[in-house]
Amino acid sequence: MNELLASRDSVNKWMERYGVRFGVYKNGVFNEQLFPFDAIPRKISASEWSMLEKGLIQRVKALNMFLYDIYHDKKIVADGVVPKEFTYESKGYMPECEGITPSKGVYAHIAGIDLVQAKDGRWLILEDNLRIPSGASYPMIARKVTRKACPQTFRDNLISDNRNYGAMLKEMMDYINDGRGINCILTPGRYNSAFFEHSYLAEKTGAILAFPGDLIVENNNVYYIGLYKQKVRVGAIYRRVSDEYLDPLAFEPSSLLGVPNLMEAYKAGKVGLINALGNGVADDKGIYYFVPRMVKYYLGEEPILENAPTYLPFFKEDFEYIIRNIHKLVIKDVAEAGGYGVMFGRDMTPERLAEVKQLIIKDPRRWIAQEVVDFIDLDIIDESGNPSPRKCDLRAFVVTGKETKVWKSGLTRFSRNPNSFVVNSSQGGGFKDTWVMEK
Amino acid sequence: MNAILSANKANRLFWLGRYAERGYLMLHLMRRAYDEVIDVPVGEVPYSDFLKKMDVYVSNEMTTSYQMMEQLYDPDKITSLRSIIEMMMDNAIVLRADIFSESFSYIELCRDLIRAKAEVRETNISELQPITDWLLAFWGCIRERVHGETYSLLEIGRLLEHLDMCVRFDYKYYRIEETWETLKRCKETFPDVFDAVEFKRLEGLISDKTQYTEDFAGYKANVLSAICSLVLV
Repeated sequence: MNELLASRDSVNKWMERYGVRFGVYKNGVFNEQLFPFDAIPRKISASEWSMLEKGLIQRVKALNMFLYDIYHDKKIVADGVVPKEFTYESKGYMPECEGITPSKGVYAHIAGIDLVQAKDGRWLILEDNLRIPSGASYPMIARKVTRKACPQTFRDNLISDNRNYGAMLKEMMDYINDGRGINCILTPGRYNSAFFEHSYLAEKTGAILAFPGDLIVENNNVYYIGLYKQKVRVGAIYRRVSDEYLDPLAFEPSSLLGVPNLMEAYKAGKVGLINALGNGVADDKGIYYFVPRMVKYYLGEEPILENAPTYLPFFKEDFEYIIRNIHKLVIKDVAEAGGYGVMFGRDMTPERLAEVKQLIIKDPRRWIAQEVVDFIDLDIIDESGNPSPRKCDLRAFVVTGKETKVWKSGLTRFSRNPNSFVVNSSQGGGFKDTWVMEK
Repeated sequence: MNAILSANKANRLFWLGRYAERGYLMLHLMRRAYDEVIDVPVGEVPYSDFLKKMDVYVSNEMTTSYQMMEQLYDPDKITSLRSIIEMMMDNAIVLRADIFSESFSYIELCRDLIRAKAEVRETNISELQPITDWLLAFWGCIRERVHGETYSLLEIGRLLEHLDMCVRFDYKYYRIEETWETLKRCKETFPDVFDAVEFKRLEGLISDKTQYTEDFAGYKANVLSAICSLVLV
């Protein structure tokens, strides 16, 4: 560990030279920032990982089955396990996807599942990200760099190698592609906040990095337009463009980021989209409440991983509890992401609490409330060079192709502010490598 | 690696090759001009020849050090070394998957250094030596890892810029001839990239050794204009 700490500057210089950045828009101005990296890794023992791995696979399998069901048979709603208010009235539900079966029946090819570890050691799920979960590239490159800077550390510790994420993605993309053509990663462009990740994953998977305008649809086939109008068939697109901007003829007509008629090609089964369209119905903060029920309903198993204790004001009993205890709960707007729309009751003035209560009364479907999970702190090296505890979460990446596999690593994000629980990079958080130990 | 290039990427590869070569040669020529400053009487403007050849406006009221600072670091001047490196980066950043992170990292290093030196208005040009070293490493990395049309476009950009700078700075004829011969070999492997008419025109101009050595009025301008329209990406 001493070697790791001593090489902190060297590691950060390597990260800088590889351009490990993310973009932030502030007051309409785009700035690229280095993603602060902390050299002290999060360590997860082999036995603990084995439990997490089983739980994550179970959860993602259930979520994939739920997505198929929602857009086909709708049994889970008919059976009263999930109310229609949380499915067909959800903003993430896309009626355009009704009846469409994506290539090989997979919806959530890449799931980013956010977890925290409570002080009693239990791992709790905080959030499922099934649309465009980002962040895997950072621990990928951090491992490459730290192995370079601290070889002895990696010789002395039995750490699972995480440098196979590119190969995992490629294997999944090839499976979804099914030999129809080339694989592409579709980026909104270099001013997207995650552009580093798009380009790095293209490099590591050997996929073509396609920009808006590079793809066209003809006779329901998708083509990449090469030099001198050369057309090359595309079989799978790992799209990093949101659903609503993906096809201006099917969704947001003003979108310049999408591919006209892509929806038709997708419907016709001529191209695989990674992740599938319409996944938002399964990952908003409201539907999260029902995921343990989905596990029981579809798999007939008890959930291995628990949710953080959550209340839905939609249900009368929960509503009353929230109104009574709002001062000690976390209130989240289901429509927000990236750490926005999160309010801690304990930090609010009585006036603000009253306002939030009114908001909940007015539109109960819009909010969820959670107990404040006292999750464990991990040490980071602070600005003065000393170890200092910070709140951290873990984003685990679950990849589904022919099989569902969990990447033996993950993005551990930490809050740089010692008094904050918000770890999102867009709000100034940093990241650590995640070591899954062999023993 | 699947090397199918869009028109946009082809264009960026070509310009990355050009800017990387321009940055490298400009620094080399500025170091030479910097050396000449040592022997120039106070009050004269020793950079004017260099700047004129770079098509940069020169005012007699500018001091030598002001000219040098502008030419190195002015972010608003498109001919400054800093602007050229920023433009290298603008192209490289979207080409990471095609040129690979190792090659990309050398451009990133150049950009970070020029920004840091601009911040402190570094006057000692020898402090910029790492940029030269990194650009050489960049090309080494490209030759080691990049192949096919991706490599050819970078190399065509580099050779064309080399030719441009050799003509501007009155390099000896054999340097022009050598570069041209290498460029001709690129045409054999990637003919569609070149405008056939401009290629013929440039070949005619370059093979006329007499005009080159006598610095015939307008000749250089014709060569530079043919260079500008030679490649179709």
